[in-house]
Order: sequence, then structure tokens, then C-alpha cells
Amino acid sequence: MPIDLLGQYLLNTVMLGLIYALVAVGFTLFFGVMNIIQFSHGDIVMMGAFMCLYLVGAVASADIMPAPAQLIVSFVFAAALLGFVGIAIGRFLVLPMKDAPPLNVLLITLMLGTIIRECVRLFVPGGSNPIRFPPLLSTESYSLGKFTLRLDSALMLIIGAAVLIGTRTLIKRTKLGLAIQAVGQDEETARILGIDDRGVVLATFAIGAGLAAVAGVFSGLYYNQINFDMGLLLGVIGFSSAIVGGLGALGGAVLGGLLFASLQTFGTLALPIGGEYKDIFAFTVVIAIMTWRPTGLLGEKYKERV
Amino acid sequence: MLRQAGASKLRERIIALVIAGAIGVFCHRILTERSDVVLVCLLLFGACVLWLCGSEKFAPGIRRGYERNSVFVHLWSSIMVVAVALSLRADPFALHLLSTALIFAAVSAALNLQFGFCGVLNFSAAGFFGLGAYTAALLSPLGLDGTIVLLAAGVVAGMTGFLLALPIVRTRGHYAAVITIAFGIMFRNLLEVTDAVGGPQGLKVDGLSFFGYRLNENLGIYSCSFFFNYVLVSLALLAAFVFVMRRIDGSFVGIGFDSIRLDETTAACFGLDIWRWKLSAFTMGNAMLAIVGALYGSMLGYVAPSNFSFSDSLIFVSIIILGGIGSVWGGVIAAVIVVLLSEKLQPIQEYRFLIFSTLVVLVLLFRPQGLMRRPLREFSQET
Amino acid sequence: MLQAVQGVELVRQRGMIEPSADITIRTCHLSKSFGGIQALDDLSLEIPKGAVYGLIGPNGSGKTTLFNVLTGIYAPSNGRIEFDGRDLTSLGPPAIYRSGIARTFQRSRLNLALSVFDNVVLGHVAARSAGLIQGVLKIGVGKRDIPDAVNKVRSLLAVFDDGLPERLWERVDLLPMIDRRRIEICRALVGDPKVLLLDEPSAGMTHDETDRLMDDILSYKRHHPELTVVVIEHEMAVIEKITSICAVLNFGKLLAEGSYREVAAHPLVQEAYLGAT
Repeated sequence: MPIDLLGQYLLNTVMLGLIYALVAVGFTLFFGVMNIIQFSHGDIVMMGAFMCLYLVGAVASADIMPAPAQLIVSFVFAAALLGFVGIAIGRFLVLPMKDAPPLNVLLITLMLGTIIRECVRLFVPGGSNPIRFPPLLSTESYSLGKFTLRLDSALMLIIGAAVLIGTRTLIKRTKLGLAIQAVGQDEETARILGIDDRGVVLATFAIGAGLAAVAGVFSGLYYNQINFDMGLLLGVIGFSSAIVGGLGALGGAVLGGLLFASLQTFGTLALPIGGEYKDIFAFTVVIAIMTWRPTGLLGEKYKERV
Repeated sequence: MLRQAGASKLRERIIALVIAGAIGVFCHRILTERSDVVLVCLLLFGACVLWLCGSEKFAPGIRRGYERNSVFVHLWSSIMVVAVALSLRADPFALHLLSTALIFAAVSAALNLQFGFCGVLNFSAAGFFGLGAYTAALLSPLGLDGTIVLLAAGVVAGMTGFLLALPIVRTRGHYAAVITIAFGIMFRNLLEVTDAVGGPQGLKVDGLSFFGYRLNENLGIYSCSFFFNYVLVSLALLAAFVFVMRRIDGSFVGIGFDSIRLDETTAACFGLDIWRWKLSAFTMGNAMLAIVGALYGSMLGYVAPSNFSFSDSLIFVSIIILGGIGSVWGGVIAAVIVVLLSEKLQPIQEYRFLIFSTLVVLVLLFRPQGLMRRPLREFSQET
Repeated sequence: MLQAVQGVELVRQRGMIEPSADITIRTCHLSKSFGGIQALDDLSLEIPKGAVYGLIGPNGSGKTTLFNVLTGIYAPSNGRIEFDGRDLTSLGPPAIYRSGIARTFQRSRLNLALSVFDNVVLGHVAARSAGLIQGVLKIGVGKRDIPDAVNKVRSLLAVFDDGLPERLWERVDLLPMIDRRRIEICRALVGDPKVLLLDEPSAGMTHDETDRLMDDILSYKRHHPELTVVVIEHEMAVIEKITSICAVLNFGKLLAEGSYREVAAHPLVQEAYLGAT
């Protein structure tokens, strides 16, 4: 294969892997702090994309700033709004279910995801069809033969990596991050030591929502479109990536995301009618890995005291 | 003393007769009613009655009466269903609806086996349901007897479930969730891109025939629509499923399933090979799903990927949550309600996923045991 | 006779373990580490058949971990486990239960939403005589499945308390702690095990309740002399009362072994519990 084409595939893989990683980190955070599966996370990503698009529309009509600035401003507001949504979910749907079997949280968030999806499909004008997401960040690109580097892709890669590193720093170095880790390891002890465990959980939901907003916007910019359905597949991919990397391990989520994207690319290239079967191929391999290594490639954080 | 017991049993049976009769008339009304307003009122009324029945005041009494006369109740309910079907024999739409309700009730039984009994999450129920339907479609040209078609559907689903079970039984609950969701989505994906199974358009399915008796022929007598046949077959399947479920529940197998669902580690410490049990529940449930799926496909006359989506799987899961996880009758009643609501209230058709998801969220928050709490085992009568 | 093991004095009164005594469970250099923590350290124990063997030691000394390794929940990092001559080291919990080792748990692990019967009979499910089809359809041998089990559970519960068999069909979460402990023990005994591992059976109970429970256990043992009981306890009165030998663990190592009086008097044991003076 010519090197420029290879480079293009590589770039696409890393870009997709980044988006998946951003979603996967959310899942892993929720599991790490509360041992729960927050299944509406993918649809929150979708919500973030839609919110941002609408805010851009509102800001653009004022016509006071260039496109990238419109995007950034809209994104900040969308992320903040999404943060509130995340906290609301944590406060009203997840925390009340703390004492119920963990299954119920999975079910309730799964249903919530459906509610969000259906609301967008039914009540957003034109929501049942794909909606165009304009290339707000930049329309420039550099080409070398078949290799095209979109400027916005490059920017997203840099920003995305920064976000991931920032999240890791937040968890490992800041007081809040240590509190999150403490609550994740032993909630009761953390409470006794004076940590507001409910506040920490809600903070985690806010962080997760922030990451979701980034993932949603990136997805919109990358594909140049968003649709009500995108959260479902992204959610399943993100969750599988988190599991395969090892639930609870941030590095595992990133590894899993990149792995899934690589499998998709490999499937596209290696299989005869590749393009259409790439997801099936990727999931099959991922499920096989889960069978071989149930605790994930980097080990799952799970403690059951006997 | 014995005469008193006999008299109270007679009283219970009369009550059961009256209740079943009332329900029969109620369902008949719903199946034939055209006005949306009246329908909503009827359904609300029904919902209130059910809510009351599930409450702590009435439930124990109802349960006792049921347990002591279970054979009678089952028999009489079946007779009522046939009676309702007979009275609607000239109305194909109503019969089709009734049959769908019975099929979905059977689905809820299968899902309760996997999930309500053994705790194995299955979010691809529609996938296995569809697998059965597609098996019937692919076997149509061969013109095999209905029993063979249904059996084949069960076998295909069992084997597929077996493969899928490898990762599921070795791991914890949330893995089963993501694996079955991924399978469901990928299955539909596969169907849509593979032209050999019809692609997005799907395939035609010939009607089933059992020992030469073709289900898709209208009965000449009394201008009876052929859907009546499907009502009978789906009723038979539902009855068989309910029978098996009750038997399992009242045996060591049921106790084993419950123990695994509630505390795997402890169950293992007492000699249960967890993977074996989970595999059995998963495979058996999937086979059951496919068998009714094959019937459904034959009844509809065609299969298409869009009929078996993830949202449909979620509807199936919603049904057993609304009915009460682990309660067989709860699942049956919830299935009937969901099907009747979805199909009869045309205005809400578009909104049905939204409505049912919201209902489930409310139920999980405020009444997690659902419509009917699952009864505790009691074997005092057997000793 | 004294044997020095890695600098730690080992008191093994040869009078307590007769040279001809059957050893039922033998651990050979058993070790288990979790990341950086050495929970079991080169543990070599011999548990005589039919004995009531006590296992004591400060918190975190590895007692429950030993039970978890013995029952297959954790695989050992090193060493072997022998049971009646068979090597159990690589087996999982179900196989170990079927060989005849049953246990209770430090934190009561009962299915609170189920009835007393459902909980106790769990110990019997794996040993049922009828197969799947017969059991479910209640035909042939399967017909007597449930009634036989009900009788067995009733008589077992009656050993511990006359009132319990009457409450067979009640939910467990309605019962007090002492009854729950009894139910756990009955669950472990209903499968007729060869070895019973009791993990702090007296936790959460008053002195009187504990006394009664221990009396009942000893009474059961008198009817089943072949049964070996290994009991983890913090209540020294219990250990003194019911055990014939005990072993003291500290930091996963065996500190001392002998009768209760001997080990209680041992200076190293006192130091482990009370700190160096």
C-alpha cells in the first residue's frame, strides 16, 4: 500500500480512537467511582453535539465573531449545560438507586438513554434525519498525494490529547481526583474521613458530561454530521473499549478506544467487502478478547470482599 | 373441617371464574373498540385495577387463591382466551393483535427465565426472536412441517446463544449487557448488508402448517379468519412456556437459579458450577425466543431487519420490568398491556418507545418490584 | 518437642496429635500475596480428622484468607493443599465443595430475599439425586426431591432451635442475627460435609447466644464424630471450650500450635496480640 494512503488510514484511526477514548474514559470514571454502568453516556455525547450545534446557530446569528470562536463559546456553554444535565442524572436517577441492586442503575440509565434518543428524534426539528455539522473549526487542509491532513483534525488531536492528559492529571494529582479515587475504593471510609461522597459522585458526573461534550463536538466536526442515533453505537463502542482495556483504569480506556478504531480500520482493509462488516469484525474481536481476558487488558478495578 | 375446605375452594373457583370472565369481556372490548377516548379510559381503568391487585392488601389473598387452584385457573384462562378469539373470529385485525399479545407474553416468559430467574442479562432478545423468524423464512421454500420449523428455529438460536455465552458466563453482569447489546446491533447490521437474507427489504415467509393443516387458510365455517389458528398455536406455546417456568420455579433448578442471581460467589461455594447454570438458562431462553419468533414471522408473512432492532429488545426488557422481574404472570399481563397499548392507540404509536422507557424509569424509581411481586416458594403442601 | 521454623518457635505438643492420627487437611508451604501484601506466608498446617481445630490471631493475620484459599476462591501464590490425600490446590469452589469442604462466612452471606428453606437447601442442590428433567417435571425419582429435602432441612434446623423449623417459609431478612447464623451453619451442614469451616460464628451475638450455639455445634458433632471442624474465632472463651487444638497466625505465618492453654501462655502469641512489653 502506498505510504500516503497508509498515512491517511493511520490518521483516521487515531482520530476515531481519540473519540472512542473520550467516551470510554467517561464509562471508566463512572465505574471507578461508583461501580456503576452509566449507559446513557453515549446519548449524552449525542446531546452535547446537538446542544453545541444549536448554540452555534444562536451565536452565529449575532454575527459578532469568527466561526472558530463561535464554536468555542458554544462549546463552553454546551459543556456547562451538559454538566448540569449530568449532575441532574446523578442526583435524581443514580444516587437514589444506590441501595438497589447495581443492575437497576444499568437498567435505568439504559432507559434514560432511550428517552434522550427518542426525544431528539421526535421533538428536535428534523431530528429523525442526519443534520449537517459545519466545519467550524477550520476548513483548511494540507495534502500530500492521497494523504490529506485537515487542520481541524490536527487541532482536535492536540486538544483531545490535552483533555485526556488533563483528566488523568485531575484524577491523579488534584484533591478532587484523590477524593474520587478514595470514594471509588471505599465509600464508607471516605465518608468517615470527611469526604463528601455524594458531592464527589456528582462531580464525577459533571466531569463525565464535560468529556461527553468534547466527544460529541469532535464527532460532529469529524463526520460533518450528527444524528439522533449516533449515541447508541458510540456508547456501545465506548463501553466495550473501556471493558477491554480494563474498567476503572484510565489508560485502559484510551488503549481500548485506540484498539477498537484500529480493528475497524483493519477490518475495512483486510476483509473483502470490508467497509460494511468492519463493525461486526471489530466487535467480534473485542468480544473474543473479553472472553480470553475477562478483567481487561490492563486489569479491572473490582473488589469483592468475601 | 373438610367440608369447609371444600366450600372455600368452590368459592375461590367461582371467584376465579368471574374474574376471568370479566377480564375476557374487558379484553374483547379493548380489542374491538375503535374510539381512542374510550380506549384510554378503559386502559386507565384496567391499570388502576391491576395496581390495586398488586398492592399489599390484595396481593397475598389473590396469590393464595391462585396457588391453591392453579390448574383450574390456567385451564379456565385458556378457555377464556379461546372464547374471546371465537367471538372475534371475523375480525382479522383483532385476532392478529390477540395473537401478537400472546406471543409477546411468551417472549416475556423466556426473558424471565434468563433474567428474572438466573440473572443473565439479555439485551438482544429481539435478535434471537428475529433469528427464529429468519429461520422460518429461510426454511419456507422447503415446505417443512411446522413442528420441524419451530424446532429448527430453537436449535439455531440455541447454538448461536451457546457461542455468545462463552464470554457471558465467565464474566459479571455488565459484560453480558454490553455483549448482548453489541450482538443485537451487529445482528441487525449483518442482516441489512447481506443480500442473501434479503437485505433491508427482508424476506417473505410462508405460513406454517402442522401435519398438513395449513395455518394460513381461512376456516370455511363461520367465516373465521385464519388468524384464529395463530391464536391457538401461540396460546399453546404460551401455556407450554408458563408450565415449564412454574415447574422450574418450584424445583431445585429454580432455587439454584435464584441463588446464582442473588450471590454467585456463595452459590459456587456450595457446589454450583456457575457457568453451566448460566449457560443453560441463556441457551434455553434463546431457544424459546426463537420458537415464538418463527411463529411470529409466519404470522406476519415477512421478516425485515427493522422489526428486530435494539429498541425492540428494550421493549421486551421493559415488559418484564413493568410486570415484575421474575414474575411469570406479571410478564404475561405486562406483555398484553404493552401490545394492546402500542397497537390500539394509533396516536401514540410513534411515541411508544419514549412512553415505555419513561414508564420503566418511573417503575424502577418508585416501585421496582413492578406489577406483581414474585412470590416466595412454599412447599408445605407437598409434605 | 520443639521445632524451629524460620526463627519462629513452633510448639507442637506431640501428645495432641497422635502419630497415628489421620490428617484430613494438610497445607504445604501455602502462600498467598495480594499485590504487595503477604496474606499467607509459608503456612504448613496439619488438621487431624475429627478434631475441632481453632484458628486464632490478630486482625489481618490471614485467617479468613486461609479459608478463602482452602475453598478455592483464591488460588494460592505458592504451595499445596491436600485433603484426604487428594490435591485440591488448583480446584475451584464448586469442586472443593463437592469433595466435602463446606463453610460459613465472616460477613453473613445469605440471600435475604429468599426463605429459610431456600437458603439452607442451597447446600443440597448440588447433591440432589434427580437429574434436570426429572427434577423439574417431578417424575420418577424427582417426585421425592422436595419432600425429602424439606424433612432434612427441618431436622437439621431443629438441632439448633425448635422454633426455626416452624419458620421454614419465612423470608430470612425477618429473622434475628442468631437465627441467621444458625441458618448459615445448617446450609453448610445439609450437604453432609467432611469438613466444616466456621468463620467467626459468634460475631454479633451475646454470650448466652454464643454458648448455646457452641453447645449445639458440639452436640451435632457428637452425632457425626467423623466431622472435622475448623473454627476462626476472636472469642477466646469459645476457643477454649470447644477446640482440642488451635493454631495462632500472625502476618500470615504460623506462630504457635497446641492446646488453647499452651498457645495462650506462649510469649510470642501474647506479644502478637498485646504488643511487646
